[in-house]
Amino acid sequence: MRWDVAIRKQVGTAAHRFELAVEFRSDVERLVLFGPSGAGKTLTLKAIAGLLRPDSGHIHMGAATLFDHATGVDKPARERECGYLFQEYALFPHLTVRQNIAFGGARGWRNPGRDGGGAAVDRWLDTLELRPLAERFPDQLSGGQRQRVALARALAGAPRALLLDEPFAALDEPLRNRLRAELAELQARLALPIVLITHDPADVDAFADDVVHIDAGTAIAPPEQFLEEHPMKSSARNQLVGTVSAIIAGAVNDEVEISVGGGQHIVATITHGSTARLGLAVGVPAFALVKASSIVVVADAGDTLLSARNQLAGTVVSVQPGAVNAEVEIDAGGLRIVAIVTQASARALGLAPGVPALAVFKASSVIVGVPRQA
Amino acid sequence: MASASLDAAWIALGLSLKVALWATALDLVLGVAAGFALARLRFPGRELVDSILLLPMVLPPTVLGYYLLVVVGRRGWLGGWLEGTLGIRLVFTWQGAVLAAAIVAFPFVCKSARAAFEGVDVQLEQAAHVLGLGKVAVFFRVTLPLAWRGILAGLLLAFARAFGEFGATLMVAGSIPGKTQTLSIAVYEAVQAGQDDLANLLVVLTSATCVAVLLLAGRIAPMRIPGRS
Repeated sequence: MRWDVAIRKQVGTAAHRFELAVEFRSDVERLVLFGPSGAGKTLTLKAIAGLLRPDSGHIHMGAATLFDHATGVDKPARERECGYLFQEYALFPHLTVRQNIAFGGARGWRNPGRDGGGAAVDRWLDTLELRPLAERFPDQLSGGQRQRVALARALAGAPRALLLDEPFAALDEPLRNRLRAELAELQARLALPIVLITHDPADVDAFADDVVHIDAGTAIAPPEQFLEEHPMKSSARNQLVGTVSAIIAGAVNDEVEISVGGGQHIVATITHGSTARLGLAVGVPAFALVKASSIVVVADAGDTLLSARNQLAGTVVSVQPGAVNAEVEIDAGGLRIVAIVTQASARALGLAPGVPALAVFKASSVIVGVPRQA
Repeated sequence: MASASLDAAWIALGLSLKVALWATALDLVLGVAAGFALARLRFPGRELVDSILLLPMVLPPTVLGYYLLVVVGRRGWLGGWLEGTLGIRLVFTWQGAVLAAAIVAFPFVCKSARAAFEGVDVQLEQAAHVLGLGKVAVFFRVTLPLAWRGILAGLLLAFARAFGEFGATLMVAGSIPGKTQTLSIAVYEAVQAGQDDLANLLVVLTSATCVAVLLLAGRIAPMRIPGRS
């Protein structure tokens, strides 16, 4: 068996744990771990590489035991002989392309020189067509070039397996397709076992001899318990509780995706500063506050595409008429959303219990909250 | 101007530079170590330790000097032991001045080192571990080079602070001409004694040195992290 992995790991704060529980065995050369953002795929890959210590379980790679809680085996990352391609590539910004590739081959406390590494590095520079870029620094490279440097750096140490964390996520679509083909070709040429994690079905099509679906990362603390421990009162009618499942950094703002149960995700855009201030990270429990008046109820979108990032499909549970407005409660896969619309709209749309409806709101109208750290 | 006062000024300048350099060197080792520990280790009371290490920045130098006398003075618990067993005396020596200056300037290095280390992406360190490096090698080959600029900025500030140190130095090392009388103390003594010529000379020397340090800082600070233009 090439891979035999069964691990458990709890992450997050004491009150709100996110439990990673992954188990798979596979004998194929190209294994893909597939699952949505926040399912724990990266944690799994880091555990294999030795960058994250599981609470229990075991990790076997071929005949080698990398980790076994029962026998106390825990090989340090530097002895696991795994190549690791980080999602953002993690190239050393203070070293040239050549120095990056020669990095693992140089022992001791000093980095390889500008012309370090010798013939072995030359070979990788040629293999990945990086020769003209050898003297450049990572910030002088394009996304595709960075990926090739990261690949060369990972492969230069002659690893026994290559672990790839969303290798194409940081690239734009046309480049993605080309590099997929390149990587597949390189992998076949080297006959190197790979484990690739992705949330993109196209990667599965391109690489998977075998697919492991990971949805197992489950939040332990149910929303009710979370609320009990962190009572919060707000004027927002929609106080949704969940776990941050992805943070996508943009030029100005971050896009924070909060998994709120019922298979629903809320997307919020907040500034980089807020992300840092709140200590937001994948796996952290968080509130998403949405004013009932910020929600537009769409009775029938037809074939119209809407720009709002949050579009929760469900059915109307109740319509409570007030003096001017009506409160519409929508059940979206178990998630209750309250929207306020005018009585006239409610009538015009024919909103009544049982009617399908879409709760639509902008990502910028969502306020994100986290409990203050003790 | 009498050549004697010129000599005295040069001696005071040399002593100030010597004390400031030694103090900065001491802070380089201690401040970087403390900054790294605060940035990377998780231990209870971390923020309390951080606050205590910052104290020399806010306490009046005379108070620091008094604390130092209590600890390393001849009757102090550490000073008594040092003199009794090792024969080392810190009070009224230039080494004592170094200790005082190092403590006063310590927060500059510690604080900037902590911020610089916290700014280093942990993933880069992880990448280095996966590539086969041990902890010490990762520190010297990844963490330190990436944090170096911030640390250097702190070191220059520390040097400037140590160079101008007055209060704590005077308390611990006194004002012995040629031995512990640094530039800033010599200025005070000259003014007290009504030696205006000497005071003028000393002040010009001090200012010139500080301008030189700032110019140097301006040249060193933009010096890369290569590739960051």
